[in-house]
Amino acid sequence: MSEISLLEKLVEALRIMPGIGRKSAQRIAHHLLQRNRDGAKHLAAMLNEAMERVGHCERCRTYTENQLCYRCVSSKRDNSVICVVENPSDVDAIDDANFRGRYFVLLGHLSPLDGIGPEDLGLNEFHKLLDDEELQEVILATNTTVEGEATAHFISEMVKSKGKNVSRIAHGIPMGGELEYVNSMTIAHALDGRKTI
Amino acid sequence: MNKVLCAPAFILHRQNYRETSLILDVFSRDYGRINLIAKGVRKNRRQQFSTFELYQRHLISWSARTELGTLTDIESDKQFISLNQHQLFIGFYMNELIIYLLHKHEPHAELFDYYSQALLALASGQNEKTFLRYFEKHLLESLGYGLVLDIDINTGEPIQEKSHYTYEVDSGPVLYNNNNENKLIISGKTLLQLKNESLSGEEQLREAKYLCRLIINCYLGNRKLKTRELYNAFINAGSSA
Repeated sequence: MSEISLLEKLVEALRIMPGIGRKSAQRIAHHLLQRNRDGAKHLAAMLNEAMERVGHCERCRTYTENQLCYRCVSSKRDNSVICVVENPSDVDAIDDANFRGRYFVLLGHLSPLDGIGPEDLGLNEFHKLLDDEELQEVILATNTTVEGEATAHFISEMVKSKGKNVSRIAHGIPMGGELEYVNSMTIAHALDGRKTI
Repeated sequence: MNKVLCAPAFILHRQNYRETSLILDVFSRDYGRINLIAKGVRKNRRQQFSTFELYQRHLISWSARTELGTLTDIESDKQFISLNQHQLFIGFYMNELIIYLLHKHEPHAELFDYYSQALLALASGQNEKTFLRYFEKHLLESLGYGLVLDIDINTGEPIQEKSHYTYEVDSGPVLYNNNNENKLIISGKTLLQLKNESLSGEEQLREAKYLCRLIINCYLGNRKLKTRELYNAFINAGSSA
């Protein structure tokens, strides 16, 4: 009896993962027990270690097990520009697009009705980064939702008061998009943000 | 089972729910404030937030068996309202007031129309200090706490433009005399302008703001408006050199 209940517990535990329901959890548990016990042990050890040791970078707030993340430590990056994003996963996305400046991760966006204010986004720390002499431009790459826009505007006021340049990433028609299938709100943004060629 | 088709509505607030769903706080014209769950809409991430954006007039269909209804269809209605910069914070403020003060399932068509107009006015760059006051006035009326702005409640005399008054929160304006110190003093001009929705002049705007704030704070009880705190922080962020 006790064995069955341990398996049940494992299935329950697996369900905390995103996108994993009861059936998938059962499938994973059976697979690991039947075919890959060593892999499962390794996974357990990794999970344990990562949960213990991974924290936030003191400078950019992304995940790292060190005081500073490897991007902040790197001397090859451009100190004159900081890109502000909402989530750690956005950092990877922007890095893939060949951006080579510094980052700052908000870990969320302003949402007064959920009680998320500027201090929850680490904007006090961000304020200190603005004192850096080398810094010339802040790029705001928050999401293009109402909350993301409000967050971007809030930060832009902070940056302007320090006399630095601030810019917002363009938004509008996606690459390879056909106008017919783009909604009117996106088109309106694209028209607002048009540029002369 | 209660089914509603294509009801004009605004989304006041949305929260992620589980992996792929959203819970929406919706302000509909004919059914009042309701909560809806939009199942599975975050699967298609590209479409996600442009359809469920705040400050846009939508036509929403849903079915409800319990308190929490299920969204069945959503499309945008009429033109696209584009709020920029500080206007976004003012929109948050109106949404927060509606969420805190309006009871669920009570239709307030007149307030809905006014909210809609206020958003359009905001988007067209009009001075928010005037229509925000009118919005607050309409909101109080919808709640059944409409402001008395034309007669002195002690004497029954009409309000005189040149006189000064204090305002009793639960009843109305009273002619100012030196005994009621520490109270908000408002000119008759402001009261009449607020009544006729013709506010103009710095002093009138300021007095109207304090009057509305006094009364709204009273109905909010101990609750602090988070959007007001955020707006103040926003003003400070711009000025802290």
